Amino acid sequence: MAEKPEDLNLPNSVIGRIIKEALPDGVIISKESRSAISKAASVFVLYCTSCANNFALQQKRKTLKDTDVIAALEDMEFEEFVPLLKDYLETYKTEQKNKKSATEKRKKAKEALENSLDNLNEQESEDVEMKEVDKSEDEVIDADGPQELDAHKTDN
Amino acid sequence: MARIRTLIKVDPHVTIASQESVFLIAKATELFVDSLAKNMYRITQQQKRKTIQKKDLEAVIEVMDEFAFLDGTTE
Repeated sequence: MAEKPEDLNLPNSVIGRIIKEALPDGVIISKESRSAISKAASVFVLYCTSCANNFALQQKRKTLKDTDVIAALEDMEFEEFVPLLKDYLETYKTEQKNKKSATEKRKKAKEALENSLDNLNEQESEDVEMKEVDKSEDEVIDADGPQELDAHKTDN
Repeated sequence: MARIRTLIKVDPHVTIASQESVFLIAKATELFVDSLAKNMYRITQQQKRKTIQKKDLEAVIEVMDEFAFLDGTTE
């Protein structure tokens, strides 16, 4: 399975933004260096993943966990990243939880609405049935009426 | 984050990665790029230049232990 080199690069816009924010205004960076930084970032991801995966395998796990990544970064001598990353992670976890409960709330509201609509439809069809029953009762009465009169006539 | 996921999948030894771990790797990469750019600029300033060049990256790789893993990747 051959991967195109472009596919393994991170978005240039994101890399560019981070570089710009890292440096003071007016500092110029050559296109070549920008490119080299982008490639270095991709290598970082691969290296970090590999390191983290080793920690997971050590604990006989197949799923890469957040704790594995933290351990990997400490191992890679990027421990200065850890406190900030832990903060980011907490915020991320809270956001995911909120998203999940918002989706569940929407789902429940939708179900409740559908149930009400179903009940309303059932009520309407019951009303229609009731009307039809009344109508046929009227017809029965009409049929009897004239017969009685005739009977009465015959007697006289 | 999608590109990060693509990169993670390149590793044949990785079976599955939790959403949180992908997020952390993405954020760590941002911090990495930031750190790398700043360190490169330090070299640029030391050499009294105004433009950051590729050789500044090579200098960072040589001088700073945490960036040593990038050795050979700048060809």
